[in-house]
This record gives sequence, structure tokens and C-alpha cells, in this order.
Amino acid sequence: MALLVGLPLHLALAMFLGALAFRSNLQGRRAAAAFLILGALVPFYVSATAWIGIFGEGHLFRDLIGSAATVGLVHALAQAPLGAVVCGLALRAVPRVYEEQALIDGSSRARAFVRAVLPRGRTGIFAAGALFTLAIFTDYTVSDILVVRTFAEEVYTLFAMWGSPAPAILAALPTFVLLTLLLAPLARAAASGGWSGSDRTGSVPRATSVSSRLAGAVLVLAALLLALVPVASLARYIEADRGLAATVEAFRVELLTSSWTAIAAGVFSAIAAPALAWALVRARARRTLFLAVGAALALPGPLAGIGLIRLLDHPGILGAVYDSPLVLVLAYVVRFFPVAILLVLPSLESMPRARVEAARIEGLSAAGVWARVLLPAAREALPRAALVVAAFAVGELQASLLVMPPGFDTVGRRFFSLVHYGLRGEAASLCLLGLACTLLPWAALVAWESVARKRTPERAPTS
Amino acid sequence: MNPRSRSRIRTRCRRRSWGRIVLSASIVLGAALADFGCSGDEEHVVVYTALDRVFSEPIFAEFTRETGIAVRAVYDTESTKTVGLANRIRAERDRPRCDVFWNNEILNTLLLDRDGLFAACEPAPAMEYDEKWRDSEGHWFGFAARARVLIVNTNLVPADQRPDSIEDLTDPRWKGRAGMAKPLFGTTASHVACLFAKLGTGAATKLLERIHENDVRILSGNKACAEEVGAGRLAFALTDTDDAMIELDAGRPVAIVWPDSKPGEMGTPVLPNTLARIRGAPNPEAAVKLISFLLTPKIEAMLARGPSAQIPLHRETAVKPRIPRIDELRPMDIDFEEAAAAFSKGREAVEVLLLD
Repeated sequence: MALLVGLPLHLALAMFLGALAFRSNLQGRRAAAAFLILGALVPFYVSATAWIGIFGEGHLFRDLIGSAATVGLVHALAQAPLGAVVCGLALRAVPRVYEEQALIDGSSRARAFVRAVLPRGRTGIFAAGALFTLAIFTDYTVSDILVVRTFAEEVYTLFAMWGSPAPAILAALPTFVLLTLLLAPLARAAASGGWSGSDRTGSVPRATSVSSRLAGAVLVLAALLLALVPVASLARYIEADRGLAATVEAFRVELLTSSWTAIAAGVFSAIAAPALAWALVRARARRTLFLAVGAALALPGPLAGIGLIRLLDHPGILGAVYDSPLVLVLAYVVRFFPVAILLVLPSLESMPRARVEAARIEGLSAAGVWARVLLPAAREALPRAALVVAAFAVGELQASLLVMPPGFDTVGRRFFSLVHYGLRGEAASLCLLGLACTLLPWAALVAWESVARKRTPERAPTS
Repeated sequence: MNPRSRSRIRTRCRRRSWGRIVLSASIVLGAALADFGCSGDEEHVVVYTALDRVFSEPIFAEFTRETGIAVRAVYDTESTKTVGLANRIRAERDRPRCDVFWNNEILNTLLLDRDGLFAACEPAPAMEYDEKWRDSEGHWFGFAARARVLIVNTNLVPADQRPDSIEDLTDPRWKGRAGMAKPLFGTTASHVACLFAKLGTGAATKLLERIHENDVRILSGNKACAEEVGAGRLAFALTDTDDAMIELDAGRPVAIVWPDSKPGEMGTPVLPNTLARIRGAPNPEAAVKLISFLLTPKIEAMLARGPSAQIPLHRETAVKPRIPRIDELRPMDIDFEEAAAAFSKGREAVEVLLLD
């Protein structure tokens, strides 16, 4: 029910906003795109909790349309920025020549978009839908607050009840297989690079008519509302009697733990991703490998946590890792490494294979090929991959809850606990501080990329 | 510049960039390990606690101030309270990491004890508790209890019509208007276990079936139950005293009813927090010190005065609690060991209620 209600709404919002912010010629589209990207970085449980608060704990909608449908509605709104970015990037990459041809043939602008652009951007639309479906099945923060049982919560409940992973694994299996089959094509589509980059073959003059300016203003406002108002609404709960320094000190453990474990997971994932991504590009068993990436994406967080306990809780170095915050880094890598692979794939797919073969002929080992050919080829994608994994890691709860080492705590776990105890002021303060930790590295990356872009001349477009 | 020189310069630049990235990663990881390493040397005790951090952290801070022993705690979440921690203790049995298990109910403590996961100890303050609140072999100790109560919305339910028994969950006049937490975790599971022991498996199963047929809403936790009643979305619900007190303190239109507390009735379940030392844990002396500290009247008084309004069980805890003292209540007379055994048998019936 959550999927039936939420998916159409989510895709409609994602396609509409993505097309306008990333492909149109409206004034203000860059600002709208920036707001949507910011919104996509907000941890999911933060957006979702904020939307639930805006709807008055979802009770109006729960009474009207049922709890499960309210879950779908909250998911649709909370994930709309991410969906819009994914759809928008795919639509942006569609060459304008197809649209122009349709216009020449007499189609209206809208018809040209629907017939010529949308089908070619279907990879992004499919990706947005797949990611939404994955979240509906694997998240239990929203469903726990709205008291709706989901697949992920069921897995955790079964493990908690029976003390053995076997019932949890059995219960998870059918949905896990379904999600894997859904996500494997996503991995394959990502390899084709059909949803990254931009089309530079034709530039479109910015629209200057009054109606276009008005439409642009509405677009910016919609993106701002969707992306940032839920988070800003948390500010009303903040109790001003405690200053910023005291608040930061109160949450020092959570902020530090979440920040560095997320960054470590992001850096590790980004550095290691090119090797596996290249294996995907080259392998004869591409289908099997794409299924493996899909399976890794579909793996429920609780099972990842259970697996890490079984793997690491032994004497020696494994136990030392289990007792340390490195276990959190591993949990994040297990859950989000596939995302890093998908982000790096397009760069490697477009790299000439002769380069690798030449390196091999010159006598480079596999490690040498990785360090001197693959990493440089993916260097533009690596910082983005690292930061996306880090942003997702800050929002992760399911696996980290099971492996949390003594004396440490994360922003997600603490936020969830504070919300459950009705300590909204504390929860709001924590979440806004956590958000600052997530956004600062992104601001640095954007600044660095814009400086790098100004220094590097525009490359000639390639067909 | 010739192409070979350009290529050499590019290679050097690339090496420097990757060198910077690897250096940054090493610094990040090194800082993390250093942060952990420094705190790894001091004397410490590891506690897995089901009592939320908001309530337990000040107590741990007080312990550290008095003894100099750092407390490294692992907390759980509201929705799967305790059972997640209990199963981590089970999973870690070959290499225990937890020294002390502080459970805010008793059922899972008893189940872990049956699995041989606890070590005996003799904290001095334990002798000042009634025998029914501690294990005869020194494996677990109860303190600072909560009672299972009905929280009733006073705007929706007139005073003369208030439910006063667990059986009222099956009364058709409350169909669809009552609530309880998932009976698989926490104090609700303990309460159900007590019912299985008190009424027998057959009668208890029938009670659960009638509760299910009466469309009692099953919510994620006791706090959610109390909030729903406080907000007027349920007429009444089964919850704990601490969650009910929070709603009262917040000025919501609610009242607390002590179920089955009239003469001749089965009594109100009173469930203690429990403490246990883990067998084979790395810091046994620190564990005993922490358990002794937590069993003192001072800590019970802190928990009684605090928002959780726990009921003191120590004979010498001198505090005016915000709810009736243990000797003012009619607690259910229950053998907790028997309750744990009965729950293991009745778990399937409970699952049917949960899943359906």
C-alpha cells in the first residue's frame, strides 16, 4: 500500500522537478538544482521525521488513507529531492538534437519532451523508482514512528525474537530476491553511463519572457520548500536556552563518531570502487556481477549487522576491529559500497580499454593498473562517490544499531532515540548539527569543482 | 615543451594528488584509532543498558566521578528494547564484551540466565532487598521497579466508567479504542509472561485471542501507547508507570489506573530493573563495583525522583516517590522464573497476536 500510494507521487514529483531544474531554460533553474541537491543530502530519517511533524504525526492522513499509505506519502516527499536529482541528471544527458528534431517535425515543446526526451532518460526514472522502492522496503524509521510494520523491521524483529539469523534470513529471502532483480538492471544501466554528464552539443538560450520568469520563480520556491522547509521546520522545536557551544559539547560523541566513520567509509569506498567497477565493465559474466551489485544494494541493514557480528566477534585482530568504531566503518561500506561502484562506473565505461592493455604490456601489476590507470580515469567521480557514501552513512541506522561499539553513539541512533522520547528540542538541535557536518564537505567540493572548472578549458563534445 | 616532459609532469601531479588523498585518509583513520586507543587504556566497565541514555547517562557520570572508572555504554532503541541487547550478549558469548547487563525488565534477564550467560556475584547492597527481587544464586538483582498500569484519557472516559482490569482490553465497549505495545519485547513481554504463569497457558492464550478479536491496537512501544491516549486517539492503553507519568507531567488529560488491584484480584504486575554480571567478561571487578553502585538507595532515589518515576525496592530508600510505594500497592504475586518458563511456551500464541 505504501508503494502504491508513494511511488506514483514520488515519480511525478521527481520527473517534473528534475526536468525543470536540470534541463529547462528557466531562470533560476540552477538555484532550484542546488536546493534539490542539498535536499538529497539530508539524511532520510531527518526529512521523514520533519514531514511527519508537519502533518501532525501523520494523523490526518492516517485517518483518511491508512497508516501504510501515510508511510508512502512521507517517503514520497522525503525522497523527492533525491529522485529529482537522479531523474534530472538522466534527462540532462539526453542530446538536444532529438528534441530539436521533434520541434522541426512540428511537435509542440511539451510533446517533443514527452516523445523525444523522456524515453531516452528512462534510466534515471527507473533509478529513481528503484531507489524509492528500496527505501520503502528497507527503512524502518518512518514505519516505526507511524507504527507500520515493514520488511526491514520484520527482519530485525525476527532476529531479536529468536536470537538466530536463520528465521530472519528466511523471512527476508523472497523480498531480497525481488529487490535484487529490480536493482540489477539499475547497475547495468549505470554502467552504460546513460544518466550522468551533460549534453553540451546544444546550448539553449535562457527564457526571458515574463511567464518564464514567473515559472522559474515558482520552480525555485518549490525546490526550496521540498528540500529545506522540512528541515527548517525542526528549528521551531529548538530550545534557545542552551547556546551553540554547549549543544555541540552535549552531542560531541555522536557528531565526531558519525563524521569520521562516514568520511572514512566514503574515502575507502571511493578508493576501492574503481577496481570492482572495472571488473564489471570488463567481465564476461556481467549479468552475474550486476546481480551481485543489485543484491548488495537490496541487503537489509539488519542482516548486514548480523553478518558483521558473526564475522568479527572473534579473538585477535578481528575482535579488536569489532570492539572499535572501525566496525561502523565496515557496516557503512557493506551497505553503500555498491553506490560508489555505480557512481564510478560511467567514468570507466567511457575510458578506452587500450589504456589498460598498454599498461599491462608495460609490465604494470594489477595494483599498478588500479593506481595509475583506473584511479586517474575516475578521478572526477571519486570525490563525489566518497561524499555520497558519507552522506548516506550519516543517515544509516539499521546495521550500525546492531554493531555499535561501547562508548560510542551515532547521530542516527541518538536522533531516533530522542524522537521516541519526545525530546524534540534535543532531536532538532542534533539533527541540524549533523546536517552541518554532512553539508560542509559538499560545500567544499562544490567550491573546488567550480574553481577547477574555471581553470580547465571546456572540452570538445564527443558523440 | 615536448610530449614526454608533459607526460612526466602530469604523472608527478597525479602522484601528488593521490598521495594527498591517501595521506588524508590515513590521518582520518589514525585520528579515529588514536581516539579509541587513548580511551582503551583507562580503567573502564562496559554496560549494555536498556534504560535510555537520557536517564542512565547521569547515573554513569556519577559512578565515574565516585570511582574513577569510565563507563562505556551501549544503548538500544525504543521499538526493540532489550531483546536486541540480549541477543548481542548471546552472539558474543564466546568472547564477551559486555561486563554488566542493565535490563529495564526481567524476562530477558531470566532467559539469558537460563542460557548460562551470567556469573554470580555478591554486591553488598543486594542483601537489603527482599528475596523476591534477587536471584538466590546471585546471578541477577532487581531494583527500581515499574508497574504495568492502564493509562486512561479523562476527556474520553468518565471517572465512573474507567477500566480497572486487564480484562477490559477484551470488553466490546472498548473495541478498537484500546492499545498495548508489541507483546514480544520489554515490559509488555514480561507482563504477558506473568499472565501465562498466573492464569496458565490455556487461559492466557484465550485472553490474548479475545484481545486480538477486540481490535486492540498494537503499537511500537509503551511510550507510543501513552502518547496515543494523551492525545485522545485511544481511550486507554496498557503501559508502564514511567510512560504514564511523562504524559501526566506534560499536563495531558490522563489518569493512571492500577489494574486488578482490588482484594481478591490478581494484582498489578510490578517489574524491576535487573542487573547481571556477564560470565567471562573482561572487567569483573569493575562490573561488581558498578552493580553495587546501582543497587544503592541513592540511585533508586535518583530514579524515583526523575521523570521515569521508578518505584524503589530497597528497604532504606528514603524518598517521596511520585507514585505509590511498593508497600502501598497490591503487586501481582508472581514467580518470575515460572513466568520465564511459561513465556517460552506461549511465544507462538503471542506471535499470532502480533502478526495477525
